[in-house]
Amino acid sequence: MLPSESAEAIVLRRKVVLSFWAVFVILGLPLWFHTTTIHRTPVPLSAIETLDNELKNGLGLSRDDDPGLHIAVGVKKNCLYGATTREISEELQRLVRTEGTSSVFSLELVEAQECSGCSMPKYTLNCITSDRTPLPKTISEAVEISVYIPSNNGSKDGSKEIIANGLYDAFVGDFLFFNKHDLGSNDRAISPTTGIVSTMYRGATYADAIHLSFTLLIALDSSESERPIEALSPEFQTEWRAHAEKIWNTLKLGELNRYVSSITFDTDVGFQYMTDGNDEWARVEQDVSPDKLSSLLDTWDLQPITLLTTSSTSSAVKVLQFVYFLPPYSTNRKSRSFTVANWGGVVMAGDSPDLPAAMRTFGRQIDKLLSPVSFSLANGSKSRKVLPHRHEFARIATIMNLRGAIETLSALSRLVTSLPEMAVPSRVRDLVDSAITEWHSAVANLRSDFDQVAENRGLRHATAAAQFARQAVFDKDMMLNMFVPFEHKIAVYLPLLGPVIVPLVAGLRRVIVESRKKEP
Amino acid sequence: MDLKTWAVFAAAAVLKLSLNFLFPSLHSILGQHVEVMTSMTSFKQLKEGLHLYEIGISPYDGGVYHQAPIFLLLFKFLGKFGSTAPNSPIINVFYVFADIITAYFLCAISKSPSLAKTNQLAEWVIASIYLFNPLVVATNIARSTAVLSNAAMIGSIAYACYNRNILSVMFLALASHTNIYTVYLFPPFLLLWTSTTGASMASVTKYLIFYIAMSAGLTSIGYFMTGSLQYLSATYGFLLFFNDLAPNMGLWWYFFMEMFDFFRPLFTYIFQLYSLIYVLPITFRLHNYPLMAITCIVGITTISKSYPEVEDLGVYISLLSLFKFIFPNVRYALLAALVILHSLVLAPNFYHLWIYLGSGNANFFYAITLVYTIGMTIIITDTLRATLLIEFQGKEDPSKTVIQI
Repeated sequence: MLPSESAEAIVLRRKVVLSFWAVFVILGLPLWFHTTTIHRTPVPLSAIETLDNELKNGLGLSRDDDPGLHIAVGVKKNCLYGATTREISEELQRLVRTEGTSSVFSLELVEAQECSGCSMPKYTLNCITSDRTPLPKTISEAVEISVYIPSNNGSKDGSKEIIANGLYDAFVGDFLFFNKHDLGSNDRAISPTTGIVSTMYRGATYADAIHLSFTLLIALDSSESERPIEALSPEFQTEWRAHAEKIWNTLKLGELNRYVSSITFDTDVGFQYMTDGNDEWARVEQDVSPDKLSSLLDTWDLQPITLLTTSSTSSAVKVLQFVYFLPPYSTNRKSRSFTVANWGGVVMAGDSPDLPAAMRTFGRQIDKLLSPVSFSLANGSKSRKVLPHRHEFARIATIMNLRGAIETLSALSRLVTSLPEMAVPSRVRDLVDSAITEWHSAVANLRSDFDQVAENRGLRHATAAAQFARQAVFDKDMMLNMFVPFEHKIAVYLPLLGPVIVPLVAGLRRVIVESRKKEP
Repeated sequence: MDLKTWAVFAAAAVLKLSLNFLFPSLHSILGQHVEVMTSMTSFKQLKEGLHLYEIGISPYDGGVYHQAPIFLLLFKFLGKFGSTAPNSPIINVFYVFADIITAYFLCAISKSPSLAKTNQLAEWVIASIYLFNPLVVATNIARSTAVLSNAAMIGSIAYACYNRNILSVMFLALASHTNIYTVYLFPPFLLLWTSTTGASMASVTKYLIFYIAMSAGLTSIGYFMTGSLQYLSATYGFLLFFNDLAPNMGLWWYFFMEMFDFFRPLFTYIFQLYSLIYVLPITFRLHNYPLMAITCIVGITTISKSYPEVEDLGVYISLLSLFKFIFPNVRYALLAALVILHSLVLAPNFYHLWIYLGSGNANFFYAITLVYTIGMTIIITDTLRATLLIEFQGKEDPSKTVIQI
């Protein structure tokens, strides 16, 4: 039998046990509670929801005189063939989102200086100053952005459509809010100038001056050179011009006078005098049946063109020619073909050409000259043309960044709400507050600096808002501590504290039992 | 002190000076071993901090230097007498002197009134155990600043044993300033300081206030040197919150390398609390043997501190050598010695396999640190048990011998 403990030993043992418990209770428990408490800094969820609603309601940017978008796209040379426009798209995105001081007025498609005949065209973006000197991908005071495309030895039908579609993909698909993009509905579009969701989208013309030329070109055989050619009667010329004006009116070009500084057209009658292969031109009055010409003109099927609002973007005069070429009598004049010339225009040949098709092509060329980027609404409405202007790009990017920021913040609010055990450091709250502050600055800039593009302040604030929002969501302390199940915590605490608790509890129990035994 | 002891001092000095002279690169080789030096005691980092301090930059800004600022003053002073290169004459002599003074203090402790009544080893044996301990020799040659911290701690014990309490408090404050885990020794030191006058509230308060004042004075040195108290986070904060996960002979680094960040603060506090929680109970239980209480706490901190070194084991063994009277009751000496020996031999090999050859991994080295800890635990529990047995035996009929079956 073990000897009983002395009183001194019992007191000493109690001191030891209680000293263990003192450290455990005074230091251990508070530290355990402090280090395992999930610190959740309150995130301004209501403010985030308010911003979301504000964006959906158009950011309060409505203006009565919204001029729409402006873009200047012209085709200098038709030497295109199908190729990816991803480079164009990415480069333009970069320019829009990073460039702060340049102002771009037009986009021109010009023939590339190099890579002639390349099978794989390469697109490079260069900036052209007012004197048309290209700058290698540096933007200082550029007034134009040009897309250089490689030349093609031969033209192809629809090449303008190809580049136009490419531009559409580049500008419309990536920058602009169209119904084909994710806006929640195919019927809506957000105006990049106002931010207002609408079903209509307006574009603008490109050229300040347009010159349309309707040319009747009659080739003469050498065998006919001696045949007297009656002078074209004034009536014939009048008839020709009348029909051209009819075309003009049919195209409703007259309405463009509001937006284009000058639109001219002429109706020339030209003769190609072919003598032993000599293509010397000679203007000779010739007797051509006006009735025949009139009948030809009457059958032209003209597509109406929806006119667009615009603003002047370029001082270049664009010329488009429609040529009706009558081959020599000796040649087969039964061809129904027409060609689209490299220089832009339609050349119709033969006695019985497909005039409706030729005129439709010519009409589309005029469309593209005026507003070359076209797209179709998914609801089957007629095509709209959009010509975004440089500062609109900045506004577009600003709104895009604001949209990205609010989507990110909304995701954060959903994350915080759905995971109550997720820690939210104070840093996240600071980042959210910063994002909201930048948001308000960006919107204020959008509202006040409608026509000011010099510093793109709104774009900078919106970019900062999006960046702060991303940093808040992907904060490492929050993401790393996102979810630790309670069972996992128990599995960690038990082996850590169990071996300590057992002797402590046993020792304390013995002390308590002894104390109770002593009580009478 | 007898002639043999002085001869041991001389021989140890000759040995260490010879090793430094014959093998000039030995200090750098040993300095690269994580068993010998850590980021808290590295001489190389001390040199970095000293250079930054001399050119007017705070040595705590770079994240390299994490030691007490008083070391900068000390080595700057030594620099006036010569180069502070690890193998320079002044540094050689200084470190040899530090070891000899530590051995001197140990000899003085063995002859103190606290241990006079017990059976003691000869002074020269005690000095030899410390001076010729390979762990101590290696640490000394590697120029670890733990040599200086332990010298201050041993000096504090020696002065306390001779009732020179003020000096003891000063040395303890100095040791605490350089190695914060020495703070844990304050309760058993109180027992020593009040052993003659009695542990009254007044005396306890007096020593506490003096200790705090001394510590504050040393802390203010760092404040005036760096211009702010931010150095505290680079020194004590770095040690307490375990910011450097470099491998060492401790148990912390492996845990924290693989731990989720969510649990890191909890584990840090629990691990620090684990070494603290034993201080008061051991002090209470061994109130009759304050020196043994100090030794036990030194042993516990050796295995539970965040950046342990083999120097700590050397000091612990040297302190244990003062208690010859418990040796007959120690049961697992051979086992513990073999475990420790195997772990010390294998540790550098496994580290080399892991880091340099790439044919091992962290588990190799960590397993050896676990074995090392088990060996230390065996020693601590065995010596504690032996002490309690001695205490029990002493209270009962002294003519009877307790036989453990």
